[in-house]
Amino acid sequence: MKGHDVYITGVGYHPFGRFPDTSLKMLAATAALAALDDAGIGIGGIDAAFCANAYSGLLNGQESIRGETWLRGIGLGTTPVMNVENACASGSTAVHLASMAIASGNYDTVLVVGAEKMFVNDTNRTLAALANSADTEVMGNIGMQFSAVDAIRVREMMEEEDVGAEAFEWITMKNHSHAVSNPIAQYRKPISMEQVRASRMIADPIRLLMCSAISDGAAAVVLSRKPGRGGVRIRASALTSSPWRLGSDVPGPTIAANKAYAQAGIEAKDLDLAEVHDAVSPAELMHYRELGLCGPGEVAAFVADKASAIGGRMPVNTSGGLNSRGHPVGATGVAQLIELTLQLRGDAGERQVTGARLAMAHNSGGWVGEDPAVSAVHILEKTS
Amino acid sequence: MQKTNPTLFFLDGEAEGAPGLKGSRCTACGEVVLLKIAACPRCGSRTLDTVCIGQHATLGQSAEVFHSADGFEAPYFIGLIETAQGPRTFAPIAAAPGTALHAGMPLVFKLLPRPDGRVGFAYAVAEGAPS
Repeated sequence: MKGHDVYITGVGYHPFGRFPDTSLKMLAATAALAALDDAGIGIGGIDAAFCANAYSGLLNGQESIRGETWLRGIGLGTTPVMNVENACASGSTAVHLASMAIASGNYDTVLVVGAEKMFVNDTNRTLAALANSADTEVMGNIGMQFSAVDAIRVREMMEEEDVGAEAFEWITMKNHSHAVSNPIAQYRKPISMEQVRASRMIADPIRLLMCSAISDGAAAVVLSRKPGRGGVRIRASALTSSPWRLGSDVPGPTIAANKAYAQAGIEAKDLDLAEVHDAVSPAELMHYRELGLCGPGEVAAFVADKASAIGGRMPVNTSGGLNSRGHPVGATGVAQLIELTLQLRGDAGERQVTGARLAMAHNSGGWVGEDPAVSAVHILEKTS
Repeated sequence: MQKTNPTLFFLDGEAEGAPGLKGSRCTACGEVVLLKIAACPRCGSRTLDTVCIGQHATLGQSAEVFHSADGFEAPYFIGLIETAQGPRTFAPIAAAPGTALHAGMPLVFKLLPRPDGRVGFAYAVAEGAPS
């Protein structure tokens, strides 16, 4: 990245799950206070806050000034708030903007909070809100739901890679096993491939246990020009919008990853671990190729080698991913960076990837044209 | 007759070649894209004709969906289609539950009455297409 260095100096969260008695304000405030405590500063120590949320207008009746309502109750005072919405990539977009604000020299320390409250006692209402993250002119009123979009994308991958139901079941089992020791995760029980296989079909070949869950939750990070504990630096922050394909077959996530690799001056093979956007668990396999974690035609071997499990050569979704950690939309991108920060600090406990120094987060949002509307990639580095 | 997606498709008589999807053709470079848009994504020209496209299409990958949504009763199909003019998009595929759809099948655009009284659209496998 150009400009001043940007470090993640504090992380905090409210666990992901179903919390009917906890307001969105309290979810967000809990995460914010935990991140400030972790950074060793008070709310008065930040110059600005960037607050990410996607569906509060549709689901919670708070369309505007979301962040101001979250943080006033913890003493924000007159500190400026930027509210950020970019579908499932709202959190990583907020981190991108916050990073640019520090790198530019305008702010020294900022708070990023992502929060979402998706349980509203009406699953269809929540699914309808999620469907708003597509171009509604084109994809409204056609029966579109994201599980179907993902099913079609997975089928496209299956045309070129020798993977099928068994690989999808394994990847789901793998991510659930990763989440067992993650205190933020919504699902912390291991599941078997047989359980995945027995779950009902949602959009062929996607089964229920392969889908990320509806979640309430919040995640927060403090960013600063000065290194904090662990010296975790944001080495790259790249964001792309859905490209017009016009004969090109390069997907949006690849464009974002290549931008990030160029910013960081590294290649995919230099990474020690990654968090990727597995809105349905088989999509993780698709992202291996798109992000360069393995080459075209190599996905089946990557799975067979268990390369993406903890202990493998490229652990992926050590947090459990969206599939098991949960997917409170506005918080997801921030939660990915919390996991990577803990890993780089050496604070990931049973999930720790030994010797981790370089880590990548990939977060997608919405759908426009032939790609995610937003593809965000961050690369973090341990500097101390 | 009220349409489900007024900016996405034409009814009979609303444009030359209708019914079909609404598109734009750049008068400078000939690029064709979905929807009425303001500038050509290839050459930047701001002179585009609004045209009817997608009367015929080819099926890419598709999925049978088993959770009702958006007024569609499960099971139903969604597919990625490539119009004869080039643009690709997701669309409902009118097929009986359990139909073995596969990539490459020829499709035709059809208007489809919806339970709420509006008219929508779907693609159906062209008659005579190999199953």
